[in-house]
Amino acid sequence: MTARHVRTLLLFAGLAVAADALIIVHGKLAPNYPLLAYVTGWIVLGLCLYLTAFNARKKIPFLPFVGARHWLNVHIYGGLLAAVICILHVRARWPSGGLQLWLCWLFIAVTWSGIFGWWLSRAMPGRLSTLGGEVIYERVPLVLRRLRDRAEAISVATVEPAGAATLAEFYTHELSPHFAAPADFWAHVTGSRRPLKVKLQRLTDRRRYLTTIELKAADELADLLRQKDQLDAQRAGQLLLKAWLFVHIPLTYAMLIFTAVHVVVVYAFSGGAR
Amino acid sequence: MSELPLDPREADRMRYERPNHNWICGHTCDGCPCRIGPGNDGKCRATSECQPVRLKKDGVETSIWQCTRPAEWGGKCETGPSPSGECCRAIERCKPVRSLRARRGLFVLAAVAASVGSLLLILGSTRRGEFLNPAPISQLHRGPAFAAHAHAAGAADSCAACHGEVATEPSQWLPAALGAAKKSLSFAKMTEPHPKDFSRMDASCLTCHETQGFHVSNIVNPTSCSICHREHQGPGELAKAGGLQCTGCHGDKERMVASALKGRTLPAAMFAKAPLPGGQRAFARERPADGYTRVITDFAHGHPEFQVVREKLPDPNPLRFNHAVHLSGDIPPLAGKSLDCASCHQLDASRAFYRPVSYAQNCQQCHTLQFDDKTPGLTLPHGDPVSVRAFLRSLPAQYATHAMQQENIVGRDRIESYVTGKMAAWRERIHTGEDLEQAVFFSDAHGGPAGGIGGRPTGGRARFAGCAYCHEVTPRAEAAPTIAKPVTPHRWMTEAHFNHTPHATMKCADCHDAAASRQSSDVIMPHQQSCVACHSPKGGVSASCTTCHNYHQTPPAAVLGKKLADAFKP
Repeated sequence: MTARHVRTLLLFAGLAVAADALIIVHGKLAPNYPLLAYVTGWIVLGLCLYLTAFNARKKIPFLPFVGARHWLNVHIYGGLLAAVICILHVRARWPSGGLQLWLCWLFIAVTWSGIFGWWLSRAMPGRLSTLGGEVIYERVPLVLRRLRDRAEAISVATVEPAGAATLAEFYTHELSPHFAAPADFWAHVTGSRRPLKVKLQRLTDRRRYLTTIELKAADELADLLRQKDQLDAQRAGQLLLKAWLFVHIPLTYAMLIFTAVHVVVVYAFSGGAR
Repeated sequence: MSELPLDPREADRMRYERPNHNWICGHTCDGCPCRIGPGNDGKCRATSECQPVRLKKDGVETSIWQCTRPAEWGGKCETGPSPSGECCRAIERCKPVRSLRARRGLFVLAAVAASVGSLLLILGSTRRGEFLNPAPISQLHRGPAFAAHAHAAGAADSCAACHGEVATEPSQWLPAALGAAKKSLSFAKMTEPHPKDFSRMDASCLTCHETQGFHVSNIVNPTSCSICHREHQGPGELAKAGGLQCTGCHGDKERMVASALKGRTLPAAMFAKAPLPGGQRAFARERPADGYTRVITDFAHGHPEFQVVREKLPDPNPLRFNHAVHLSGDIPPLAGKSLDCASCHQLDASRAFYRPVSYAQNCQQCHTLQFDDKTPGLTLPHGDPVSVRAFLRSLPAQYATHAMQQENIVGRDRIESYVTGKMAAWRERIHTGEDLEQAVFFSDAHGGPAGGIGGRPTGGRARFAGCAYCHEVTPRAEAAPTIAKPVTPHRWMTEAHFNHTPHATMKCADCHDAAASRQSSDVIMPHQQSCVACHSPKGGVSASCTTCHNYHQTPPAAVLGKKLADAFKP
């Protein structure tokens, strides 16, 4: 068990203790503080606003705030704590009104997308490192272009010396679409090696029709296929690392809007009732 | 596996990774972005690969143009600039595309727009109320009947009956919310234990339920209705209160002290109990000096002993009765059955309480008023001493009637003989009519003029010992004596409600120790701890305050003079 695992376990234990303490304290306070639901509501809203500020913090790295790593940790455990307080706020009951139902679903979606993103950010980098061939996401098209150029050059270069176009035709019909763009996203997300094996098998099946010169080029193409597969895997992993935010952040803002309406409506309609 | 062909260090020199920019070159997806990139407005800025400059010689510009393409983009081109100083390698213009981050920003905007739009649509529609309603409302506060009631009260609709104009005017939401945030829902109120929380909503409640807002006159902070009755919890009945809400105040020492102090300042009329319905009699007892302000956290701990037991309050009933004797077993069986509680005590129509005992229904069967043990069937009238005196003063006539109707004696002579014999027997025993009256009214088996007037009749069960045997008889000059009317309370503990039927599985003696009661002044009510035996977490039966008590009390007349909603305004 690494130090990081120990730290995570300790943080989780701390969170569990804090959640238990919150539940106990809430149970003791509830009879004497009839407006406690408003307090828990404001705490949840405050936490949500603070957690949302993490996005702003990332945009202004020059300001002398605490490091982003600490912000991230607070974001994660603060988010989980907000979920616990939210359960206390709704008295652990499933809402039935339209506005509250929407708000509840949004909160659940934001929370679970956050948990998914957290898991992804912990699991995916290690997987990408194991894959090798790390490349910045924005440079994937450049690397892909180079791979494509090299593959085309290799296949075309065999036509004249080999006196045959078998490999070139195979590249044109079978491999060029693969090199033209990123491919096999879901296969790489699930960690499947099948697409690469299929392509390599097709190339192997063609080898008996190739000349000696083409065979050498086929070996290079196979190597390029493996590199392309590696690149696709890197792209899929990194895209996933960025794509979950397409759910988490927009839903967060939607949730805040619904929360604002919820606060106004509750204050306006309750008339002081709890 | 071999390394990727592009060395990251080489790629660093490409200087085109700008993930924070909103736009990227349209050729990026082809792997050949231009080095200029699009502007912030998303328009392609590509012109040519460089901006030629004039060649300087000895610090002086010449007419020769020089290519300025950077080394990382291929260095100086072979063709070089045109004679007019223009770059010959024009860059193909592209249609810039949004960066991933910018697309995410669009997603956020779309989500915000969709949220705002959908909210505006719903809040502007006729289904606004349905959308905002946090949960179905209780059955009493909805439906045509309630709508008609709300309309009669001047509300625009059912929602407005409680929520006021915010229910119909969205423009009022923000002002109303801000108003609530400053007053009843301020942060200070939220963090205050037991805030004085009678709110605007409670004022709405009292519009219809005016008297139900009353608890006791010495309450320190009028309690919000919503502490116990939460609306919008479902379509059934309005939620009933548990016990936690009660101990919120009654378990708070400061509140109870304040309540006791307030109670001392109020006139007794403010604590007058309303009479029981249907002319029922309540067992009268003094209100404790500090009212009911003892700190109570639950029924098993802290709840005081019942006042009637604690203060050993006597039964005011003037009737003389000995429970122990009647349950001792010395009394012959009645209809083949030994006397027990059910011989005299029967449930009333409500099945919750027992009917008061009456002479005609419960005593007469054994205690006939047969004053002459030689004349079975001839009994004194019961209930009115004047009638008794009249009966005794017309005793010959009563004997004559008895002879005719009961003994079937016919013929004047025979009847006169019968009457004469009876009267002679009395004269021999009692001497005069006045003595007989004295003996009948004031004998009690142990004392009195005759020590007991009747002997045990042949067919009866208990002899008639005289009125004073059971009643308090007070002599009056020149008039029939006064006999104190028995007064049996219908309710002994009016601060609580009770139902005998659910307790039918128990024996009467489990709660009422009648077998040990020898005085009619004994109030045979159970001790609080005998209730706790079952009504506690250990006993497993509900021990919440509302099991026995009701928050809502009928306001005394002194309170009814005020308008509760005004009296409890926050």
